[in-house]
Amino acid sequence: MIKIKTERDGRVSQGDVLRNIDYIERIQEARGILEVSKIAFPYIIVLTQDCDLEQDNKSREIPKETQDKLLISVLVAPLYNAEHFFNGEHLSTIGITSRIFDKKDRFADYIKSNQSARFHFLEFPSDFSLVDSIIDFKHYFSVPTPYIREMKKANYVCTVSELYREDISHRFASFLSRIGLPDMPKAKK
Amino acid sequence: MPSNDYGSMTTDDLGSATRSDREHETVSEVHEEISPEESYSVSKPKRIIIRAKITHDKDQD
Repeated sequence: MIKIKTERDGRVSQGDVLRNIDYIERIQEARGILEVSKIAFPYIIVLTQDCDLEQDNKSREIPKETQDKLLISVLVAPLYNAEHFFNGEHLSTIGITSRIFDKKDRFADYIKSNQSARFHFLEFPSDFSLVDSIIDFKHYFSVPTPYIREMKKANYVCTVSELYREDISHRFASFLSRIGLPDMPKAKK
Repeated sequence: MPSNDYGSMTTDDLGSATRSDREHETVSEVHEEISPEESYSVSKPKRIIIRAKITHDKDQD
């Protein structure tokens, strides 16, 4: 189980969990019709390094001659309901079919114990309203900094405490920096 | 959904609809589609498609 904080501070922080965050998939205009396609994620967690977020905030609150610490966007990842995830239906409403995990599937246990590099399992405190959740590090995306700063005011849920957010950050960085090796032909015996 | 709900969604904000003729453009008749709900989908991502008609009003230049 992880520890969380529920006091909202004045800026976006690494480990913040926010609800109802939009990801803009596509904007196009054709024959006078503007079409915007977006995915509304029920919950996301902020992954951007906290020192970068702190410097961005200072730069916005105390304007200087240069703004080289401003962030253009903030990196986040969706939180999926773990029950939906293991049933393979966490993305069913956006037309993506996912693997179904059998209750005896050992890979599900690997995910729950954070031994699978791609996923991070979060068990929130029992007295908190969020269900067990899973971060899929492959699904990270960025949102404009002004947008997420506004969303923090109205859609803040909680913040994952430092030790646990460092764990998430470290595992995410490790996943992102992995080296893809080609499949080698099997040696003839 | 009334277009007022998207009051801030000017074409300039969205970037892709700028024109060189400098006509003033406004977005009207907003229509929103939300991906079908499932009974078990309270906390699943949803795809939302917004279609808006762009009108050109030269009087506001």
